[in-house]
Amino acid sequence: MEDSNKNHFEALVDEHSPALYAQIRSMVLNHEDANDVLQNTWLKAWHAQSGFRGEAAAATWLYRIAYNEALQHLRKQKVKRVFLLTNASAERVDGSLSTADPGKILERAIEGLSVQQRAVFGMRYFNDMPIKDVAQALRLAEGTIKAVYHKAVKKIEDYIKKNPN
Amino acid sequence: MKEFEHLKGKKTKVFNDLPKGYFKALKQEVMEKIDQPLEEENPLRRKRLLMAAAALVILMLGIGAALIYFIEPSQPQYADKHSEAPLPNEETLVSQGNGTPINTLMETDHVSKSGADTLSWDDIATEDLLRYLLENDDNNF
Repeated sequence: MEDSNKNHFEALVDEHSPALYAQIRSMVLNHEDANDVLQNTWLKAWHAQSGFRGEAAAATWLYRIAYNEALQHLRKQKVKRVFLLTNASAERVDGSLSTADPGKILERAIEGLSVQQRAVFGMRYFNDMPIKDVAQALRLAEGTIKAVYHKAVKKIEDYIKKNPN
Repeated sequence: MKEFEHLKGKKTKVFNDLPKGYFKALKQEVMEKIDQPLEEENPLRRKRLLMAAAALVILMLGIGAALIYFIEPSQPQYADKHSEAPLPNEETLVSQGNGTPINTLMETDHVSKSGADTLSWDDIATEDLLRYLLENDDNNF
């Protein structure tokens, strides 16, 4: 029983890790943080398996956990920043950022979004999630998700237009 | 979709700083960690945090009480300020429309200087009251 449960969980980790990573990364913005949050997401999911009632798809349930974990991580970071008086933008200065790299331009554009916009954009753009599922995962109305996504895309498009190279 | 014009082809190029074999390593790490029991919160740490919070609240209350007790009000009280104001003399009083001076009842006779703000029945002479009632038809009872 325990083994079959573990095998099933392992399959879930295999299947959903890349999509969850993209969602988390678009929220927390760097790899180290995304890695921590993703690991915590899977541990929470494992220990909360009994709480999963199967009303929603497993993916939606996982996205919900990931979203909450990422939010918690961002809150902790904010508190840390207040106490250490460090500047978020200074932390993000990365020598490897090349403006000619289209992927990096998109990453920079995502940085300019709000946390909610980043979450919605991450789910919809990188993981092609239907609006309905995004709404279910974030517990928001479908209309709200559409509006948030539209604003996010508009902001990113504007950023890319202004910084073509 | 027009909105995606600038986003086309960027999806696969983003977040490309992942170490090689990252997801495989992640799976291994996660599967190892799920076998370990959940880290329980240290009760001693929780106790310390609660004590620190309580101390902070007590300190804030102490500072508040000290501020209230030691700092004297910088502004004089309203009543004190007004009791010191001089009463107007007859010359400065403006006359009413019909030429009757405003101080017909000679307020200065009945209103003491210190009690200028509080006029009681005892301050009004009986004859003044009677004169007022006789002069006003509306009070014909």
